[in-house]
Order: sequence, then C-alpha cells, then structure tokens
Amino acid sequence: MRSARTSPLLALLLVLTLAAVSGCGQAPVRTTANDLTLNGRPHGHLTILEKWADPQYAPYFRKMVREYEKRNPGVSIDLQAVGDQPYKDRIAALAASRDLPDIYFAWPGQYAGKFADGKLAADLTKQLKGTEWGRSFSPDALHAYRYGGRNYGVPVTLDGKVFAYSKRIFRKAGVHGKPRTFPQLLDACDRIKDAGYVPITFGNQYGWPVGHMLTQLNAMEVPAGTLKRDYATKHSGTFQHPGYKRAFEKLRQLKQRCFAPGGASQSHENAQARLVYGKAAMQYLETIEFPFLTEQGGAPASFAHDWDFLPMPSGAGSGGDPRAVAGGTDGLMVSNASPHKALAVDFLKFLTARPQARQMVRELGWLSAVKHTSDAGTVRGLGGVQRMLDRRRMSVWLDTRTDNKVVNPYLAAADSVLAGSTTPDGAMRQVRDGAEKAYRFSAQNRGGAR
Amino acid sequence: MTALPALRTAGRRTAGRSGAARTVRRIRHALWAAPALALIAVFVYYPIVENLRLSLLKFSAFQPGTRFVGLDNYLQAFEDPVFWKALVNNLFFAATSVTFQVGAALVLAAVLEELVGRRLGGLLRTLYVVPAAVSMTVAGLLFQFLLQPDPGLVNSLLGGIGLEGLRHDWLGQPGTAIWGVIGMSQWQSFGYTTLLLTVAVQRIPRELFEAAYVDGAGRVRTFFTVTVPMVRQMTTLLIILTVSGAFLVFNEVMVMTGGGPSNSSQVLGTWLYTSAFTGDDMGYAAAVGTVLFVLTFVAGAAQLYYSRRKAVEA
Repeated sequence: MRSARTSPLLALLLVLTLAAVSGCGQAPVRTTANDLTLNGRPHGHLTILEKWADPQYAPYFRKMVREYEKRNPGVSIDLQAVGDQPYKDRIAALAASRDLPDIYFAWPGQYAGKFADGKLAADLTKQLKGTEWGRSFSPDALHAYRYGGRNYGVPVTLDGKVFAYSKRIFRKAGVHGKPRTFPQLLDACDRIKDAGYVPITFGNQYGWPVGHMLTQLNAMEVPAGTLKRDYATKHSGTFQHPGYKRAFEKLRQLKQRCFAPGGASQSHENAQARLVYGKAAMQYLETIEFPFLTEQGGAPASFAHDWDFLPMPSGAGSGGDPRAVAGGTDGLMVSNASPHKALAVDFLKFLTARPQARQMVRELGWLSAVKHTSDAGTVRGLGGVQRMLDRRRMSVWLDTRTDNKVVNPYLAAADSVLAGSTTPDGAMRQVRDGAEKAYRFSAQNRGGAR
Repeated sequence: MTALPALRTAGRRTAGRSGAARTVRRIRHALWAAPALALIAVFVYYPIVENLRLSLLKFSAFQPGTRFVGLDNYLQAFEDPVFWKALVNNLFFAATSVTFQVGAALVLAAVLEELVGRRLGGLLRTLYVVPAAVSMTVAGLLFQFLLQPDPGLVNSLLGGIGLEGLRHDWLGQPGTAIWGVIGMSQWQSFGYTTLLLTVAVQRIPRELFEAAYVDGAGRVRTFFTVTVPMVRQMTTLLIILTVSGAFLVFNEVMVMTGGGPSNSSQVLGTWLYTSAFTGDDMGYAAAVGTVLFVLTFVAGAAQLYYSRRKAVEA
C-alpha cells in the first residue's frame, strides 16, 4: 500500500521537476557585430549548409570550397549539402535553436524573409547596394532577397519555368510553330491527343509542380501590386481579385484537355521520362532541368537533339502581366550570429565572381544570377532562355513567396481542382480561409510576442 | 529470565544492523538504477512535459519570442478539418490493422498450423517474414508502381480480367489514396504477426484440442473455445502494438502520398510534421503531438486493463 501511495507522488514530483526545468523560454537571438570587412588575409573556419546535394551538382560546390581553401591556406570550410525537404527540416531546427551555420541556403520570398525578420540573417546592404559586386548580379535576382529596402541574401542561380516540347511530336500532330496564346495551347493539346500522345506530362505527387503552375497563371491573371499585397499576408480580406479564380479555371482547362490521368500520383521526374522517351509532347519544367534533357543527362538522342521550349502563353485580356515568368533565384544568406561574417562574405564574393559563375554555367548547365554568363553554357536552349528571362518580369515561386499557412491550403485546393472534387470558386474559399488564418497568426505574433 | 533482556538487546542490535543494511542496500539499488532512471527522465518524460508546455504557446522557429495562448492550439485543432481527417485516417488504419494483423492473421495461423504446419513450417516462416524484411521506403515505392494508373500492375490486372470499370488512380484520388497506403502497410506487417501468432498457437497443449474434439466440438468451435483464449496474451500484445503503430504511422504516408492529394491521406503524424516544418506553427504541432500521445496512451492503458481483468476472471 505504501508503495502504491508513493508512486503517484514520485511521478508528480518528477513531472513538476521536469516542468520547472522545461520552463525555460525559446533560445534568445544572438547577433554579432555586422563587420563585413576583412582585415588582412582570410583565415578561420566556416560552416555552410545548402541543398545542392544531387550527385550531379554537389561536386561543383565541393570543388569551389576546395579552391577557396587552396587560395587561402588559413581557411577551413565544412560544407554540408542535403536534399530539399531534409534541408527545410534541418534549417528550421537550427533556426529554432539559434545555431545556424555561417552560410546557409534560402529560397527567395517569405522563406528568406523569415530569416531577415527574425534577425537571423546578416544585413549585407553595405556590400551589395551600389557596389561593383552588387552590380554584377541580375537586378531581379538581387531584389528577390531585399526586405524593407535592405539586402539579406546573395543570389547564386537563376531559374525560370517554361514548357519543354518535343519538336517531333509537334510535327506529327500537325502543330506548326509555338502556341502564342492560351487558346492556341489548348488547341495544340487537342491535336496532340488526337495523334495518340499525351499533350502535357504532369507529375504532381509532391504538390510543388502545381504550385509553380499557379505561380505563372496568377502572375498573368492578377496585377503585380495585388499579388504582392496578397502574398505578403499582412492584411485581412486578401485573395479577392477575380484573376485568382481565372487561374484555377485555366488549370482546370489544362487538366481536362492537356494532362494525362494519374498526374497526382506520379512524381515530376517520372513524368519527365514520358517526355524524353517520346510518350508525351510537353512538360512544364524549370530551366535548371535542361541538363536532364541532354544525352549526358540521360535523354535519348532522338529527343536530346529535337526539342525546344516555349513560355506559358497568356489568355486574352489577362488582368496581370502577360509576359510574366514563374521563377526565382536560389541564394545564400549569412548568419547574423556568425563570428566570421567578413570571411563568409569573402567566400560568397569568390563563389559569385564572374569566372566562377561562368564555370557553374558551363559545368552544371544552370543559369547564373551573375550577369553576362549564359554564353559560357553548352546546354541546348540556355542562351535562348536567358534572353527570354531578360525581357520578362519574374514572379517568384508561390510556395516560397507567401506564408506556408497559405501555401498548404492553396496546394490542397489545386489538388482538389485537378481531381475534379472542387470548383475554382470552392478552391478560392479554401485559399481565403488559409490567408485569414495566416494573417491572424502573424498579427498575433507581431502584437503579442514576448 | 535473566537471559531475556540480553536476548532482546541482541535482537535489537541485530534488527538495527539489518535495518542499516537494508537502508544501505536500498541506497545501493537506487544508485544502480539512477543512471537508467535519469536517461528515461531525460529522453522519455522530459520531451513529453516539454511538448505539453509548447502546446500552450504560439511561436515560430524563425521569430524571437513566444506567446502563451492557453488551450488555443487545441481549439484550433478541433476546428481544423485536416486534423479530423487525419484522426479518421488513423482510426481507419487502426481498425484495418487489428482486423487483418490480429484477426485474420490468427485465423490463418490456426488454419495453416492445423493443416500444413508440420510439413511446411519452415517454408511458411520464410514466407511470413519476407515482406517485413523489406524496408518501408522500398515497399512504399514498390506499391507506388503497383498502384500507378498507367501502366500499374493493379490496373493492368483489373483490365486483364475484364474489370476496366474498376481501374483507378488509386493514390491520386482523395477517396482511395489512404486505402492504398493502408493496403501496403497490411501487406508488410501481416506475415510478421502471423508468425508470432503461429508460435503462440504451437504452444497450446495438444491435449486441449483433443479433449475438445472428444467432446464433439468442431474446428470452428475449437478455434473460439480453445485457440482464442489460449493465445490471449499474444493477441493483447499485438492489439496494443498495432493500434499504437496505427496512430504513430508516418513513413508509409510520406513515401507514398506525402499526405495528399488535398490532404486526403494525412494522418496525425504527418499533419504534425507538416504543421511544424512546412507551416512553421510549432505550438499547434505540439498540440497535435499531445493529442497523439494521449490517444496512444489511452489505447494502450485500456487494452492492458481489459486483458488484466480477463486474466483475473480466468
């Protein structure tokens, strides 16, 4: 009996002790002096966490690190690369524990904005605004990491979303020339389907491909100012513009006339196999995927030498920018708590210097955020896509530009439209509901955080 | 008479010595157990208490500061349709797992043990274990291919036997995605639980079966009056494991559907993860975690209580 009475008492004591111990608050934000000027030769140890872990890309970044260490014998760098989703998990845990690496990856938009707002990213304005280094970048790319008029990130790559298409299937289906308008695109889909091919191969298993497509359609249907205000989720009653609904309607038209069944359970990569092996005519893909469409990237010669790209055509009377392109830049930020900020900036200057940027374009087949580098590339279409991006306004990915509390219902609503289980009106109700929740969450956090 | 006080004194001395020895022994036991207790406190109980505390706060991983919101995160969960969808999916998972991995597995174990167990025991054990030996990620990807709308094996088979009308985008439609995941999970665990139940069936004394047959009981009646009661300990254990496993399911969903389409295959584990790492709503995720803990704790405790009562009655 005695032990039966003492056990709950001991358990209560244990719980209270643990509660007292766990009562400590969130780790405070530590910052170091924002001294970004290197005194003397570079020396010290840097830690870097980024998300270019694919075996095709990772060696280039490891090579850059080794090259910098070789040039600066007093410097050692610990570079860690992980995949997209593990990166999101890891950087969130590191941010919460205020233990960020000296340099870390960040997608533009609200994703990077969270680091800037939380004072977790170093203000690099002095180094980038009006300087030779700052002027070397594409202005759109540099602007993607500007918050409250201050620069917090260094863009590395440039990426846009286009349709890659098989010229052979276009010829067989009697589609002459690139579709210039949205109705022309739908007509082309009908012809291709009649010829026995899948018009657009679409793999949306992980949700982001439809997010990219809606980024594009929203940018074409909704004025830029309205988009900016709505994506910021700093106001109540957002996402009311009729263009958002039109974007969902266009998505539904694409699903009905262009996509093959089963896109929701197929990965983007599996869908791409249908394009390169001649089963499908088009895929909406990122320009950084162009290397996969080459023979070195695994595509058969019959496709690798017979494809081209076209931007998403706009509809008549679009309310937004008919020449917008969904895309963005991938970049790096410097931790505001880093004891080696100047060294980190020096490494970033090295990584984004024109010779290194040209090397990246040549070796990886990516576009660089550094100007005048695309001619170094050998991948088909790279020069053409750079010229196209130079003439168009870039609309940053929906899934990184706005609050995640909006992104999740937005992508879920898009899934439902694709599955035919909701209408564009119903989808917009879900989006507005998510936006209200995001607004309330951020307003409460701004007002009541302690 | 004179010897009595001396004896009492000696007894007191002995009692004193044995009392001190008992105290020393207790301290020694406590010291031996202390490291293990400390580890359990730090790695088991501390996270539970900390999670409970965090569930009363609103905070972002990226922003400084936290805000005490009381039970708001729990209210948010109860108003969140995805939370309820996830909970229902977990219940589907639990009901299906208990039906197949305990009920059907016990029937299979009893039937095969009765009919072919002695001759094909080795082969059966191998067959039971193979699916469980396949990694979850590999099994998930394998089933993804099987359930592809075109040219997935399941749809091809349906087409081959003239059931084109049943061909379906199994993982791509909100109505069927979670069942695709549950199906894969049953395939992987069914053999393993059958193996455990086979061992339990083998341990039942043959005399009980023979006595039942002599009394005129058929195979079905013998199953319910002899087999089922005699393997109760194992079935109780398996029910606890499958029910708590069904509430803690995560990998299967992440590999096969990622919770989609339209959050239709979310379970509490994946919704917790999505809320924390995608939605950056850490307090809400902690509240979902607490609900998950309470559900598994209650399910386990209820099952233990029930089985103990049955044991006492028996």
